[in-house]
Amino acid sequence: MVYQNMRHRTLAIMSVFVMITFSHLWAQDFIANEDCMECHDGKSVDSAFAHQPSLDVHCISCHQASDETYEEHMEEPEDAYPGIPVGESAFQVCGKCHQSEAVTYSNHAEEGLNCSECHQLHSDKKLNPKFLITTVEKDLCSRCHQDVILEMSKPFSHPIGEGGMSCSSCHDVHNPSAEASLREEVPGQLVCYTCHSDKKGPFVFEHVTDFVGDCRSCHETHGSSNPAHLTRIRVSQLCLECHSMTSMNTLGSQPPSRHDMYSPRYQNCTVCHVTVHGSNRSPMLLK
Amino acid sequence: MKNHKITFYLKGIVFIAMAWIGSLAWAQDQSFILEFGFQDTDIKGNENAYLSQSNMDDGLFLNTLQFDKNGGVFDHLSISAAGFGAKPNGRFNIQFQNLNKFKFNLKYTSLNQFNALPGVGQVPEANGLYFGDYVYDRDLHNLDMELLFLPKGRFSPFIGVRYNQLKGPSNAFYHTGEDEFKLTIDLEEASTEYYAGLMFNFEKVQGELVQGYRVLDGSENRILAPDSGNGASDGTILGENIYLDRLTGDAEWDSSSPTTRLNLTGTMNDKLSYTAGFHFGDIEIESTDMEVLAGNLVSFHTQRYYTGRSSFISAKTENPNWFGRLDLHFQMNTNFKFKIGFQKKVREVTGKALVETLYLDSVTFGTDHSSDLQDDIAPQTYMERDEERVHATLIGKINKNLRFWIGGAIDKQDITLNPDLSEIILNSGQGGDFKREITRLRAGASFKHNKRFQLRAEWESSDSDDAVVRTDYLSRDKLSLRLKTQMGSHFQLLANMKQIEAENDAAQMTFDQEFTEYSVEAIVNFDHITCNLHYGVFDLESNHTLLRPDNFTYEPSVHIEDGEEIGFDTTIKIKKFQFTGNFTRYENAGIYGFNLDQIHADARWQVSKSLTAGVQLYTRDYSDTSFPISDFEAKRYALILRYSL
Repeated sequence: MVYQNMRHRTLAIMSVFVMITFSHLWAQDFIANEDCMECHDGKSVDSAFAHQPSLDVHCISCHQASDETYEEHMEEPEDAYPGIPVGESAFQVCGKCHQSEAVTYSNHAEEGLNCSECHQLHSDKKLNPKFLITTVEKDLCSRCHQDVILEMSKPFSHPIGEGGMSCSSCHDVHNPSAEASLREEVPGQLVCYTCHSDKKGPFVFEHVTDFVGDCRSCHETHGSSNPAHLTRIRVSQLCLECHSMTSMNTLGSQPPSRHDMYSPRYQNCTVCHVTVHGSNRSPMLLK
Repeated sequence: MKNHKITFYLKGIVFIAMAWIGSLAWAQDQSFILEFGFQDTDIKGNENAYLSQSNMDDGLFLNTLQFDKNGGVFDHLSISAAGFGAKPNGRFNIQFQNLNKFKFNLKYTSLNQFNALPGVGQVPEANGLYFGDYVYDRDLHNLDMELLFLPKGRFSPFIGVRYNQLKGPSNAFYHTGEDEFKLTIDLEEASTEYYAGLMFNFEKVQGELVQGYRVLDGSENRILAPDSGNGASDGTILGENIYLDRLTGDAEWDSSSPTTRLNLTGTMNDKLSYTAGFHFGDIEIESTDMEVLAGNLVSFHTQRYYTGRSSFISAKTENPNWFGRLDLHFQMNTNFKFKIGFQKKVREVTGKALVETLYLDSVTFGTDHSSDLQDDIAPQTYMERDEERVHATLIGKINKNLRFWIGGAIDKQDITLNPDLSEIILNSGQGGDFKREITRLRAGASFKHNKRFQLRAEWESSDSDDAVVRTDYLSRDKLSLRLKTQMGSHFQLLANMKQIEAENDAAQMTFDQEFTEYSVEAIVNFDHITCNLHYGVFDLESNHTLLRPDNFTYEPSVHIEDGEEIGFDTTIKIKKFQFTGNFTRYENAGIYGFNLDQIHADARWQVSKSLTAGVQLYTRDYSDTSFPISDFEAKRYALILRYSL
């Protein structure tokens, strides 16, 4: 009798143990997407724009529900669902599939932004469907980067938001290593050459292009008050700031004295030195 | 400019029709949005100035095309496009996939690059050249296609091709015979990169290995522009009237370049992870150029007058380069992370050119005899640029509201330049070995409170031991602040501050630059109306000493920008009506002042559940106090239709 009781107790304890052990799996089977959809049809997870996992994977794959949290949520549906990934845990959840974006290493992640601050994970037809971002890309970025939008208000700026070009044309916000999160189709190479390929070289006679400094030595990238996005209004002024001899050992030759800067003919260097980005034909970059 | 946009327009129409038919044929789980319009522009003033800034044209344009479908032939199909037609750029993207089988992605982008350099960048009118003559009007086409195979397992092979074409005319000035002549240039350049690779995903390491092969070929034809034979100089040179009767030039170039790329992301244990990347490329370019000209010209180089010139140039450039990086991320505990990294970039360029020039009927300045003169040069150049960076950052979380980061980096630059003697005009500043080391420190913090208050501050300081070029700083400090606060459920306030100071106080340099930018934005948001008022100031003052070449005196080079922007946006939604309005004024009271006013108004009426119609007005008024010839007033009117399923 004693042994029978012990056996029953042992079986009971083992049963409880097994149930606890497998309750997580049970919960996954129990909480099917259809259950969630009874209330959450507004999440539009059946929309063609929806986040792919919400079509193919159970809601709880991301929302990490347990029996308890689910029951609590059913009893108090107005309360926030405890299984919603927030803060850093969102990176862990999204990172399960989005390893290639290296989301946990990006500059944005390090400063405490999580995925859902830019991406509408369930999406909606009315929202911008590109990468499920929550609004038009320029507006989304401007929420924090107003300073860049201010620079974009200058007369000469890249055509952001005019069809083909957006902030992400040049910036890969998930890139963990590049300066200013710049996109790197070729690692270590500036993104400018994607569109301005004729400036890329290599040239027999190189100038600034990848020689010393980079495009940003002479051009303002987001927007400029000066034509051709130059950092100075007068071309001669820009050139002579490097091309002036000093006692210091610096790179940049002095123009010959026949370049009379009082004569308008010599006030714009690029009228003669046309190939300022490099030439295969002229050591003086004349053609 | 309009002609070459017709191609885009036709492509857009064909594509829209296909997507439209497709959307009707399938009635399953799908979404479809099409928004397009027709616009008309009215420009008063300098049209080149307008096109250099805005580059909008008349005609049909596509605002949005989005078609998505789940199920059917593919598990998921997505087609999207925007731009084209009257807009300067456009993109088209098609993607379809079957889970566990394959994923295909095609992306096409086009861009019209137009620049007429109005106002500046010209030899002034008094010298015979006119504003807007230096024109660049080229089209860029990018096409990327990639097919990724998705077998169940750890490896996913992929193949792809990238095509890039730049094509179009430009005008430029050509210095020859000691005068400048306007040329019409036509360029066509295309590069194609074929690549194959393997993505892999093991338990502790993921990444990709890609091997590519890039080929490039291009050509440039140039001729003397009509009515440009008299050149820019209105006087004579050494008593001779300089002119060109004709000039023709043809250049061709081609290159090949194998490229190898490896990217890795992995974890060594639950504390230590890494990202790494490596790229190797080996570019070789060969080019030829043949040029023939005739007229009456002078050469200071040969000290002769001549009546014609024939030249042939052959050149070859070799450019091996590689880049590598390794970043280690150490998660010390739940609150602290430390990352350290190293990267190195090496680029070598070896260039050779053989320039054979035959001066016809040349006469010495002493006019002692007349003959043809052969002048050959064979310059060889060499350049090596070697850069290294070591960096480390500690990222910490004090509590759920406050986090910080502190770090530093050391950059080393090592540049060797060996120009050929034939390149050297004066014996200084054209070659040698240059070294520079920059030490950077960076610290920042962000604070959040109840999702209603966010503050971010960052400071960065850089010190350098030397300058390679005269605009290099010896010290640079940067401070940025960002504030975001939500007051109640209807009001939000954003503010930004950015300040940069850079200087080099070495003798005869005195480079000193200060840049400050403030912006503030207030947003009021109710159910039917959203208003946004923003204000910003942009101050830049840069002083530099330069040496005039004509009289060898030092003088300050001063550049001042004193910009102020004020803007107002509003969106009003009342039942089936929506209005979006935007006004922006940017004023620059710097050395070269200008005003730019922009108004954008968009009104829409939802005609039915699927159809919305709208009108748009866009104005852009530019007035330049330094170069009034650049002024313009532009108005753009558009009708918009939006159809969605």
